[in-house]
Amino acid sequence: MAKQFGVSDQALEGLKDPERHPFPADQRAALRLADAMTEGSAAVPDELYQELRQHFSEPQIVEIATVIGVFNYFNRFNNAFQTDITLMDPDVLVQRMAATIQANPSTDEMCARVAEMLRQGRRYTRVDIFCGTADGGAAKREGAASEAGGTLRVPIRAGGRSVGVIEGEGDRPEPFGDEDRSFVERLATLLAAALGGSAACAGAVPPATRREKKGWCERRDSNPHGLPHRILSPARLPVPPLSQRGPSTRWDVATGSSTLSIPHIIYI
Amino acid sequence: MGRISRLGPDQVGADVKALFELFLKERGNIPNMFRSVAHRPEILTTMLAHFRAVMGPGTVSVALKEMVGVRVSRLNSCHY
Repeated sequence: MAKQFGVSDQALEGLKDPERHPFPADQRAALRLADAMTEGSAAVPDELYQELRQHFSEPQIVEIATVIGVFNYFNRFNNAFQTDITLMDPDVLVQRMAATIQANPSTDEMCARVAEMLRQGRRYTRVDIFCGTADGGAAKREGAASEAGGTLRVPIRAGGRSVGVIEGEGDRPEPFGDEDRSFVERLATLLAAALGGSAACAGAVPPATRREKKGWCERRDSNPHGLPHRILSPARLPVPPLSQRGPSTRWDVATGSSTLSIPHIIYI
Repeated sequence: MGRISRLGPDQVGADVKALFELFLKERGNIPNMFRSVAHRPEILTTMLAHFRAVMGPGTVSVALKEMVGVRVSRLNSCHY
């Protein structure tokens, strides 16, 4: 979710070891405070405080310090009591995916959005949807399922044949369970209706040799450049601007009024 | 399964239920941590208010605060 607020992939990667990443000086100082307060709050050096004061006012330092405090609070609570990662309710997610499928006539966009919904909603690290044919790459990828640990692979079947594959990967300690498989199978059924009922894979297929080599289908109607029809690396997805994602208004808990979308899904 | 049980919308009072329903509407889920904290409704409601005050728009950018939060969570090995 941090990406929604303008944090780049590079910066997120840099947070693994901030001293080795070229963060701007003010960000570096704030991150040093995060480390110091988290790992030894009684020994935050004067030099660090002076560094902070070069970039931030006292109110700003207070605000940064409360962020560090709140996250330590929440992290420790969740660690101590082994709080499960929150996943989106399957029924709600299926409803939203169905609406997305209906609303997007382009197969590329439909699959991209659905895959991103799946990745975020079920906390997968990667989701790919391959649109292929039964004798092509889809079936081969499907056949490799048993060899891949930590990967969930579900075929999309329409008219008695495979028209694609949904692949998901997760880094949760527990393996994919029946709930995950059942849910992704529901999604596959939705996609089968959309893909199998169109020319997506059954009709506008490329020459067989190319199809088998590529392992996924190529749609000439939506893919004029002849590129493989492989969709969905989350980092490359066209994320709609915030203004198109619905209201994001404030939620006043004290009064219990109004609405608020809660962006900090990673942490809560 | 987490150690502390998680309360659902039908197991909480009207105030917390309204908060839960808002989560469902906006996010499609209720964060598990908050379902556990709901055992103490007063703490949950003030926790949420404080969280919003801390993480919402303020004197530094939300992006910086998100980065700081990610860094702290990393240091605490918290995958939640």
